[in-house]
Amino acid sequence: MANSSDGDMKEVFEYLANIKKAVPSNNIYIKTTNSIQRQEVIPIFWAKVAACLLISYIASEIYLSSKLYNTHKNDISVLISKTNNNLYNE
Amino acid sequence: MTFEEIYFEHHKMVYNLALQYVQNIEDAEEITQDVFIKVFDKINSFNNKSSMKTWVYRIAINQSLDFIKSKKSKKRSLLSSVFSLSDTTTTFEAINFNHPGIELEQKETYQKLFKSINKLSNNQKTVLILLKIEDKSQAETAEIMNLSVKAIESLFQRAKNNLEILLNQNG
Repeated sequence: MANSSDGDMKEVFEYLANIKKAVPSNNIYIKTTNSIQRQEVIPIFWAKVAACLLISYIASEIYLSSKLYNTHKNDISVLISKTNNNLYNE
Repeated sequence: MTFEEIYFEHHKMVYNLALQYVQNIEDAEEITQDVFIKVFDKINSFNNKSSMKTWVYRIAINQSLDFIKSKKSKKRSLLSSVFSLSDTTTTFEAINFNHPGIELEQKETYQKLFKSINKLSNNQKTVLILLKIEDKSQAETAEIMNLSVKAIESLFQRAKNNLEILLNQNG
């Protein structure tokens, strides 16, 4: 039993050993060097730093404008409540 | 040694190794590209503790395994979003089995064989690829995988046993 199973696996390994070597396309080298050149023009680290700065700038702008909007809203509501409480006939 | 020299000395080895992991031309090309970008980035940190070939082998193995891992997780998230499954176990299967080292008439046989190999653990799969497809010696495999020859022997034995079980299950 063990021998037949060993024989089966031997056949499997022969199949694996018979896989032929493939030749890669020349395009891979061109693509690789292009990627490296792009990386050299804008290093990933600095691209990440720029992205972080942009995100924090946009976030702070949104925060400040929403804060400003809320203050305006409060001002108006105070004015409205004042006028409503006045008795004009007096 | 220039980058060009390193590339042309090792690119066939990297491409073929990647092919054994993913069994697909496009994926193997993508892995090869990523491997050499890493080689370029890390060339300054390469120390002569191991040979350049061993170093490139290690990068290629790690890149191939990372590629499979990211494909598996993408597949899992897609499955869970479609079927609302939280516990889906997925194994890597080359969607387009397209291995240029395999003849068309034998494609089906190899597809079945790789389906089982892809279910093995990363170390068992690597040991099988290096010893039986790349035809490396146990000592070379041990150096590439940074393990002892004894560990490689037992890893191979386990890989062989598990592969036999998987092949019997798959019929």
